Amino acid sequence: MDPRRPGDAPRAAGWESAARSDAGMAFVMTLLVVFFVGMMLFAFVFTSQSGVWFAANDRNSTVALELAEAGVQEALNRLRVSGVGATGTFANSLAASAAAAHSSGTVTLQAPLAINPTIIPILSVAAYGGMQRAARVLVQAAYQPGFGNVVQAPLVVFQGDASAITGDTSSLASVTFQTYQTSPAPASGATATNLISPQVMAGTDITTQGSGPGDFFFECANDSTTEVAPTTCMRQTNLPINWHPATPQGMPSADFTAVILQWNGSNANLPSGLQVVQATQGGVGVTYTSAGTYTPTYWTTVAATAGQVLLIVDSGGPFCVNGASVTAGVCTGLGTLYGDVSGGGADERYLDWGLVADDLSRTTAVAFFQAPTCATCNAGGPNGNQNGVRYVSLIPPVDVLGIACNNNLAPGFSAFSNVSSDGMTCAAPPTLIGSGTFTGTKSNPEFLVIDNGAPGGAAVTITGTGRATGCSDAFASANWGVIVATGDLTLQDFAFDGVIYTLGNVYTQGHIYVKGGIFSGTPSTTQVDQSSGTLSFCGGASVSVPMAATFFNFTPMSWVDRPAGQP
Amino acid sequence: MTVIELMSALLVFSLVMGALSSLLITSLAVYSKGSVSTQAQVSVHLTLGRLVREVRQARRLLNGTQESANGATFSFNTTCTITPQLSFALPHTAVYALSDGTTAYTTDANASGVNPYDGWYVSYYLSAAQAAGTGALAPAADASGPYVIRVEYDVTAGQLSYGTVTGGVTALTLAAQGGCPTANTRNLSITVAGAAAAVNEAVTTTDVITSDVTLRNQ
Repeated sequence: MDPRRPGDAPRAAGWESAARSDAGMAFVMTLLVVFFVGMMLFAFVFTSQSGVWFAANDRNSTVALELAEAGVQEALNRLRVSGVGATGTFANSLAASAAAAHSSGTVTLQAPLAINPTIIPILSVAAYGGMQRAARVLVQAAYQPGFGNVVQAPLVVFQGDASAITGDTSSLASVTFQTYQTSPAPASGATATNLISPQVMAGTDITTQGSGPGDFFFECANDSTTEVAPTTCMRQTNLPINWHPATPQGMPSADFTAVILQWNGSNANLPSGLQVVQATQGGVGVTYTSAGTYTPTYWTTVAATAGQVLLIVDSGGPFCVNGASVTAGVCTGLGTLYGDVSGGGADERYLDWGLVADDLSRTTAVAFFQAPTCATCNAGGPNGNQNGVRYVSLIPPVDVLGIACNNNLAPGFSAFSNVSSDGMTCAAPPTLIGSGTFTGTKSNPEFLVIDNGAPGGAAVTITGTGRATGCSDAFASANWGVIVATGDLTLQDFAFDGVIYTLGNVYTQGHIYVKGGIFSGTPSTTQVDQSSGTLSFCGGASVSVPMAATFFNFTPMSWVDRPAGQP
Repeated sequence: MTVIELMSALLVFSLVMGALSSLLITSLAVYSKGSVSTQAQVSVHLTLGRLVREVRQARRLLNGTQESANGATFSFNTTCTITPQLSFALPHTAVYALSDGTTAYTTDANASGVNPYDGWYVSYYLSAAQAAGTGALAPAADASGPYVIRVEYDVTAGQLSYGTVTGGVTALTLAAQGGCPTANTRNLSITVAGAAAAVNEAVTTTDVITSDVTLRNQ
């Protein structure tokens, strides 16, 4: 439209073309402005976005890792409360909480390592804001102090302070399960001061006189806490396989050294109830000459101990050794627990495992427990196989009724059977059962508590729903779990993978196959009674058993930030 | 159109074009700064990410551990002075078979905690030169780099190898409670600074990131 008023001068030729050109230029300029402004905005956005991207991913990745580690801690706490039955996955409870909204996480108790069934991997995977992290921790299960590994078999491969050794040892470090056909008697020629393989099961006795496997020499130390030789003072004529009621246990050298350094001659930094003494035999202080593979560092640091065999005597309950720290009570985090958690029983005594391992390399002992001049100590063979490695402490008492109403195994289920007249009952979760039929399986193991009165009463007969063809069987169809009882038990045609503990005797009927161990808190006058049945202890390096917190400690041994793409 | 109108139009046009040019130049400068900032961030994040991940699963820090292989010798030190260096022992990692037939990637299940470890000694430090090819000696340490060098010693195989983690890193700073980390330190703080420049645009940027790390396997 022409905007001019009437009377205006005529327009020059081509005015309409010029006007369109102006409009076109304005349009182009507008486009340019929009383009440059867009470029600038893009640059700003790009700059800020890259920073935000890095920061957000960093934060999300860190949160995801922390969630994964929280899952590991949750799994460790579960292990320490309820042990591990079968493998299983549970939700990371922190990831699902308001504390970490929009996150997710799962924790898996994986199957044990094929090369070592006492090592359990825990895999915790967590995701937050699109970032996923995974942490894997290896946890080693070891019998609690007192449940000596030797009760499983005569061969223990020690993986602590030195190279692997073979012998009847008591170790907190590890165990290799071995096949053992029956509960054996001591070998011919064994003496009280030099027991020769094969070893016998815990909870059984070696009669020191009369009709037992043989007459053994022994000495009475009058309940001394320093004497290291066997004594029957507290058991009269029956020596339990544990021999001395307060038999020294091998403590890893690093932990032993930590205690000695805290003691340092004065007990100044040790928890109440812990003391350090020189071991004696017949009232004479025991000394030791290094065989060259191990020399205690505290012999130099604490000069008064030079050359001595020391004992750590615990009369004050549990204590924890974590690095150089020695504290009273159970471990609240890392560290190794020692002492009697139940607070009962005799004093517990520990000796430096480095000395024990070192002594295996010598053919003749030098003033270490056994006089080198002892001409009859080893049935005429070389003398000097020191005694310390052959001792296993007494099985610590388990408060059977105290754990009756707990959830004792997870994954798995707990059951309680009361055939006594004490009227004790439990609310769920334990499943209440009225018979001795054991239904635990490999995928859903059972923790059965039996209240059947004192030892010597009516034995409860345990029958199972599973089966095994023999020790070569994988026990996949056998019964899995833990059985604890207050009184006598009779195992009848039972294929079992796990741990049995009773304060009473164990009798057998038919064919019994056991992978794991049978513990008795009360020495009986016989071994596991096989007069009416046969009992085969099955083993092998790949054996795994349900690990209840009643019997096992769980110690983290390694941590790895599992990369993506790895199993 | 009168001359005045023409001059006014040209003036307005010049002003608009000037503003647009300024806008364009600013945009390009901002873009360049963003680009080099991203480069710097990538450098420090790559370095810190890898370093923290490895230190987190180290067994312990190393100081004064000297290893030789293939005619070369390297000292695994942890130091904060002049030429910062962080060295540590890593456990062996592998895929292990589990008893149910599955597998798991994890550290050495038989680790005894005894030195020497069945694993690797690793050291990070700054250098002005990149790591050369296989068989070459380790580049000399420098107070500040552009390059982060990673030296690895395979304890079992007895072999030393070197590699460049990234360039553009100008500073590596270590701190722990009580000062510089020692072989017994379990918690430490690592700071990495990176710089990048776009020469034609005269743009330089610096990025500094700090991370606290705890040795999980000590």
